[in-house]
Amino acid sequence: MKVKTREAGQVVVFEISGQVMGGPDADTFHELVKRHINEGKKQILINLGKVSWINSTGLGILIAGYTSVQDAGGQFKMANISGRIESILMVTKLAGIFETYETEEEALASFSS
Amino acid sequence: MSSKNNGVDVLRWDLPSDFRWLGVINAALQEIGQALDWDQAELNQISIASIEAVSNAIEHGNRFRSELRVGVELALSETRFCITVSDGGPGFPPERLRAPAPSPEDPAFLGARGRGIFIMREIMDAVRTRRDESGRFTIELEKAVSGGADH
Repeated sequence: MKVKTREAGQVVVFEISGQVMGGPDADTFHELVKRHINEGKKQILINLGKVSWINSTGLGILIAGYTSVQDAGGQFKMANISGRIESILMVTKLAGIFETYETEEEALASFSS
Repeated sequence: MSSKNNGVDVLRWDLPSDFRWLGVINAALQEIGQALDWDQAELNQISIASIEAVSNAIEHGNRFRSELRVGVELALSETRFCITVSDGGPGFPPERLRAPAPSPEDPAFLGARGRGIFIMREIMDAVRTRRDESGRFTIELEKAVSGGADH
């Protein structure tokens, strides 16, 4: 799993690529989220367009990020969800928790300023 | 390695305990899905459950220990898919297969772990665990498939 971050206005976009599978990636991702929260950047968009696949441990990474941002009073959204990721979100009932958008543009437009 | 018996094609791998090799199984499933005309939703579901089983064996079973292998066997017919995954770890008690599904109303719903078995159970028609003859923990996932049945 690789993570690149960039800022789009008030939103920090996390562009994730590769396999989201847990292991040491979990700590790296969570530290990155917390660092942005501590800097006052609490509007986070996760772009999953380049993710090849995700397993249950990888879902745990996203959930930990979501919980941290929510607890800090921020917003955590996701975009570019493949059919496969959508399936796993449906099966785990997380589709009702995560706010997801087809494109990054739609997701960015949805953030409150 | 592959073999055929009673109309069932069997494919086997003996993988190192490293996530890098998951791509081999994923690629095989994509090819198989196309060859057997599974629809995309069916292929997505089978891939999710299969990758879950193999990644569990690598991470929780063999704990990424390079000297331990993960055995993967796919048994394919026109109407059924079965994946059997074995590892050298302690496994988990069979009652975990029967644990109730996590509910969004449950305060623990957003816990970071514990969804793997539920995902496999929810997607597949049957999930069984056992120790094989050499004492390896083995999980078997089975699902009826519709694609290809009318060809």
